[in-house]
Parts: sequence; structure tokens; C-alpha cells
Amino acid sequence: MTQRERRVVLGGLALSLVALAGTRLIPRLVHWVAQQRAEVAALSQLALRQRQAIASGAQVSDSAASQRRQLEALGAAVLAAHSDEEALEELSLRLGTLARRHDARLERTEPMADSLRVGFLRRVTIRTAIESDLTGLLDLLHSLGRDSTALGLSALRIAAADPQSLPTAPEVLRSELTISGWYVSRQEPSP
Amino acid sequence: MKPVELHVERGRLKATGDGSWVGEAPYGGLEDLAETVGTLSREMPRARWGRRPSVRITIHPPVAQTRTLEGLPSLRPGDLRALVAEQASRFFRGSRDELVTNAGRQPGTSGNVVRAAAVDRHTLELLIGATRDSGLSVGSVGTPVDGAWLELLPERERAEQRRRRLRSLALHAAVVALAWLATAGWYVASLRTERQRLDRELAALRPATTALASLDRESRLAARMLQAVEVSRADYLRLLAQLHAVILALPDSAYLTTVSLSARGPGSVTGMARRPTEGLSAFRAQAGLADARLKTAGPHIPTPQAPWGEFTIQFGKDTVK
Repeated sequence: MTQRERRVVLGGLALSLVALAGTRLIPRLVHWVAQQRAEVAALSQLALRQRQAIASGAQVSDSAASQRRQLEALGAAVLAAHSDEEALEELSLRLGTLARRHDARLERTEPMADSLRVGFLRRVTIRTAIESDLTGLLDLLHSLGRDSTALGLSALRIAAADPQSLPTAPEVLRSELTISGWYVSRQEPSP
Repeated sequence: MKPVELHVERGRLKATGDGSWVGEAPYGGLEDLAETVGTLSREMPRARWGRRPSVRITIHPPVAQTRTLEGLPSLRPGDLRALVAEQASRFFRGSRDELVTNAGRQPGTSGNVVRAAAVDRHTLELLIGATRDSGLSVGSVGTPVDGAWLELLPERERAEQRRRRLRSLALHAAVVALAWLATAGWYVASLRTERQRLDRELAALRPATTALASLDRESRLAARMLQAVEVSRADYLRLLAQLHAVILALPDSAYLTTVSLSARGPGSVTGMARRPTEGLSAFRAQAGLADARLKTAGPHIPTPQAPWGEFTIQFGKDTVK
């Protein structure tokens, strides 16, 4: 191989290497560096946010402590039950006690479909028919509010048992109440 | 920077350097030519840093022989130079092997006029060697013929110069490439270091952030549970307030047969009254029943046979979404 031929071969090799570097190696390298830069920037932002979150952790703790106290108070306000059946039974029992206390007669109690769940809490609802006079009904309703259990009243229908009766006849009202109560479920909390 | 020039005349060397520096020295013969070049070079002012100064050596007649030749065949420049070199002893004093020649067609002349120059090879090599030994580099060696420059640097020297230039270019390119590589390497290393630092920091923060996230989740869940119970309580209070409003609104001239209330929907009452519209006004006057409207009503003018008229009043809006 002459000197000139060697120069041509070496020049061609050098050109090929430069072309390879220019079209393949360098673009990939630049892309990789840009990717690394973006990742570092994202991680830096993440670290910054986490530091800020930790710095504001005291507020979260205070808020959580306050809610924990409220939840502890809520413990007394929920029905002492762990299943729908137990809760419905407990709710009916409480209502029966209240009705008896206010001279109202509990005619019937029927459970209603209720699938509402919030966290560990689950709601049960019953529809109950009561016979009483107006005073007895109002006392019963006020007692519902005073009850330590967080009972909810969502519908009320009152009908005079005999609208044509004389004003001197004793007042008889038939009421239908839709009442809900909450209990703590043993199942996983809803998201 | 002004180039350094070395003028070689018979028995005398003249040099012009950077700025206004001019040096001159006589020489006796070839034997002290090299020493004279060295003396002049040492006196020449030079920059302390940078490249070796390049010298242009001008060899004046009669040290260089110059000729104007006519009658040569019309040849390409390379062939013309080869012809003159081949027949050097015909055009110049001295043998072919002892002379370094060059020739070129004279531009702007009519006819076939060729300028040619020759210099003794030994003298030329002495000059080049002495210049190099003095720490200068030879950029060009030649002689002016009729105002034009004829290069007399031997081909071997020219090739050497080309090689040196290439080597210098390659060296510069390598230095630049290395600088770029070093910069890129430093940048990548700093990125990696930063990445490792961030990874360590995030790993250190992880337990705290996990605990906080869990606390936050629990806190949100608790808030939702409390809110749900609050909503139940609010429904109860709303419904109780409606019932009280209905009882208070009922005038003496009317009585109710049915009351239907809903915490999240419209309520209604059905009853009997002598004047149902009176009952409606009384309802509307009560807070919470302002939007009461008469749904159905019996005869407006009661008769002795039917002194009471039936009515139904609706109020409230459906708030269930």
C-alpha cells in the first residue's frame, strides 16, 4: 500500500468515524444528557415539595389531632353494632325505647335499602310507623335530637287517623318516620 | 504581527523584525553564513510566548540567479518547472544536482516569456538549517524576478511544512476535542453527583413523607366521616324546623289531615279550611315556607252544606341532585 493509498484509507476511516459520531453517538449522548437533566430537575422539585410538606407537618398533625378528638366524640354517637343486622336491631330498639317514653306506640319497623358508606362508617335506615298524639310525636322528635346517637331524620309523614272525628275526640296521629343511624363497620374503609 | 524577513545579498544579510527593528550583518562566505544568521536571529526581538516566528527568506541576485527565458514550449506550470529543473545547467551556472530552480510564466506579457530562478542547493540548505537552529521557522524562501515572487523552497521542505501544519492542526483539534470532552465529562459527573445527592435526600425524607401522607389520608377520611354525620344532623334539624313552621303557620280556621316532610325534597300539607287562600298567606308568612304554593283547593265559597274546603299546599324544592 502506497503512502497515498494509506492516506485515502485513513481519511475515509476518519470521515466514517466523524459521521458515525455526528449522526448517532453525539445525538444519543445529547438526548441522554437532556434526559438526565430533566430527571434531576424533577427530583429536585420533588425534594423541594417534600421538604415543604414536612415543614408544614405540624399543621397537619394539629388538624389530625383535632379530628381525632372529634372522632372519639363520634364514637359515642354511632350505634353499638358491627353489621347491618346488628345496627338495624339497635336502631329499632332505641326508637322503641323513645316511643315508650313519650306514650307513642311503635306499630311497625321495616329496614330500607341504604348502601351509603363513608370511611369506616356505614349507614342503616329504617322506616317506622308510630301512633301518638301531636305532643307525643313532637316530644319523640325532640328526643331523637337529644339522643347521644347521631340519628338522622330524612322524611316524616303525619296523617290524622280519623279526620272526621269530633274536636272533643282524642287526637290520634299516624306518623311514618324515615330514620338513619351510623355504625362502625369492620370492613375496609371506602376510598 | 509583522513577518520577519531575511534578505540575503552578496556578502551581507539584512533582517527586519517585529515593529521597526532592522538588523544587518556582513558575512564572508558560506562558511560563516550560518553563524551570521544565528547572530542576527539572536538580536531579533521576539515575543516571550506563542509560536516560533516564521521567516521569509529573500535571496537577491547574484546569490540567486534569475533569468527571463523565451522560446520555451508552451507547457503547464508543473511541466515547465520540471523542464527548467531538468535543464538547469543550460539556463544557469552550475549543475542540475547543485541547483534548486523554479520557473513561471510571466503574466501580462505577450509571447512565451518565462521567468526562472535558481539558487545553490548547499547555500539554501545552510540558510534553512541556520534559520531553524536559531529558533525560527522558515515560511518561504524565494527571489523576486521582475516584481514577481519565485518560490525556491525545496519540495522536501515544503512537504515537511505541510506535515508540520497538519500536525499542528491535528494537535489543536485534539486540544479542542479534549477540552469539550472534559467539559462534557465534568457536566455529566456533576449531574450524576446531583442525582445521587437527591436520591439520598429523597430516601431520607421517605419515612417522614410516608407518615405524613398516611396522616393526611386518615385526616381526610375522618373529615369525610364527620361531615357525613353532620349532614345527617342537619337534615334532622331542617325537618324539625319545617314541622314547627307548619304548626305555627296553621290558622285557627283550618286543620290539617296530612303532613308530608322531606329533609331534601319538597313538603306538602293537606287539610280543610273555610278559606284555603287564608291558609296559604299564613304559610307564606312563616320563615322557611316562603315559597308555599296552593296545589289543589276545594270550593272558594263554602256553603252550609259544605262549610269546609279541602286544600293542599306544597313548599320547598327538591335539593337531591
